[in-house]
Amino acid sequence: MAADAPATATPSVPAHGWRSSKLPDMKLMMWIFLASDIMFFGTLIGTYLIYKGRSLTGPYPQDVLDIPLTTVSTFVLLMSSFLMVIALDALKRNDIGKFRLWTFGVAFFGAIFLGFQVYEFNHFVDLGLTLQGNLFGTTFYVLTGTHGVHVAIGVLWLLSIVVASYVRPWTSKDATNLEVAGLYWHFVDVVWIVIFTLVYLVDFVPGAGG
Amino acid sequence: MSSEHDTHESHGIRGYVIVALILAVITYVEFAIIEYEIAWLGPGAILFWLIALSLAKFVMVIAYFMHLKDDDATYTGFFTSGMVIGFGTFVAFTFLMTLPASLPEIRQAALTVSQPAHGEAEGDGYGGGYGGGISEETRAAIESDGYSRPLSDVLREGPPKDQTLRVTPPAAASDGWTVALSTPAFGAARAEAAPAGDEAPAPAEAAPAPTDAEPAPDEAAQATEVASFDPAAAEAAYTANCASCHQANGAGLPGAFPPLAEHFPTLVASDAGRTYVISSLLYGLQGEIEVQGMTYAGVMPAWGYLGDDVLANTLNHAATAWGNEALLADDFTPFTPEEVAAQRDGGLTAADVYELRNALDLP
Repeated sequence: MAADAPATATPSVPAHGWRSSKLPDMKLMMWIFLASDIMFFGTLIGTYLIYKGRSLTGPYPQDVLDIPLTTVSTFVLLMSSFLMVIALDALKRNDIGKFRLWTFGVAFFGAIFLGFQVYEFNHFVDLGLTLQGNLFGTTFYVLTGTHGVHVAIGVLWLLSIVVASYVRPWTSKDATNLEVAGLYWHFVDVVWIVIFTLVYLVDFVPGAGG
Repeated sequence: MSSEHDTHESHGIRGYVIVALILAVITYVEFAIIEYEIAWLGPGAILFWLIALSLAKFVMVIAYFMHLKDDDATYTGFFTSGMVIGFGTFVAFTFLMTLPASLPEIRQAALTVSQPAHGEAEGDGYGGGYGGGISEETRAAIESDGYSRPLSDVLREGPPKDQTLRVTPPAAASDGWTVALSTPAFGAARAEAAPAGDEAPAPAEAAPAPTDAEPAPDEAAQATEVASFDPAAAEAAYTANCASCHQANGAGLPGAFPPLAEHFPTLVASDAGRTYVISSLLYGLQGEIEVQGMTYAGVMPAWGYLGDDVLANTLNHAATAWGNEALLADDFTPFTPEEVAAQRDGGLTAADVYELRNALDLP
């Protein structure tokens, strides 16, 4: 598509230059970014799985991972994704009050998730699991830490949207801005869905743990 | 776009609520499967359901919350290609990381395939190549050695303890490879070879790897330098499993992985040292060590999942390559798969092996 020469311009090409797509640039860029980000997480998850069960010393996954606790934080993140679509829906209906409330709610739930992770990391270090200690620690902290950074960036982004909506009142015309932030947020949720299963749950499958 | 949504906003929200409820229920089911140890589900089935359920969540969030289901296909195209590339990288990486462990099986498979004529078999890249052009008489001669093992087993596991397998490359293009069993005592052979001043690394006698830069010793040296292990197989085992850290030249990496060249012979000078090096392969090693004045705090993984023959081969390569052979004690005997096997089930930890090393009287 992008290879089309300007000479083949169609009436849909605006006079100030040609566009390769009628899709919103921001949204397209976000999806391309997410495509690259999933490769990034793919390699981190792959590295975790390849080194799984190869730690020479403890603590091992079964010694530290807390499934009930992580289930709650997973649930919180899932529900934040739900609030995200509700917030977008409200903005599209020009219901600014609800849009602000739900967007703040998403950021709040994200902050709760981060709180769980901070608690978890602290607790794990107390149990002797460190970044340099063994392969499990190295691969686990790098993977979940990278995800945590993504969540933190998302929280800041959403809070900045709430603030911005006070500086210059947002309308349904701004829906694409929120939608792009939402895409990022849902993606972070999707990555966690995979991590929760492959890193946390699988270790407790009888006979399949390492 | 927004007007299109205005028309069915309430329907949209109801849809989101349903999706959110399903996601919540799936998460609870995943939790329940693990937490309440459902005995009637086998491990395989549990794994299958966990992955299937998380895949369902993954698809639902992307399709409904991220609107990919009703959105432009371009987005789906970009995201899917990212996923495919990411997953492909993972598969390729996993394959590369697990390949060395399956080398013996691959070699075995290669042996069962009918080989091309002599000479061409050299090029399999692992210094293998044995089996190429072995005549039926030779095959019969080896298999009638009284040990009743098929040739492929002899080649794979090494010859009987008291015998030596010799595979000689063709002298002329028209000749075939020759394979023969002989029974010299290794120590005697070495004592014979040492005064000759031949300190070259054990030649890849059975099948010279194409990359072997060492000049092939003359026929006489080959005859006396016979060891009761296959140097080519030893080198292949070392290259596949050890060289990435300890390096192909045995020099290690300063500060990270200790050298084996000019060091390994001092380790195996005593029986306790032999026990230690075998243990370090089977159980790994963790702890700070000092070699040739440099401190190493790296980690040696456990290699117990490799076969006894592979482990013995790596030890023999480390003992004889890089000029190490000249440093060995006169009564050194090669490691055998049996010697390795005898130390399995020792139940040591990497830290125990560290204690074994500390107990050695090393210079």
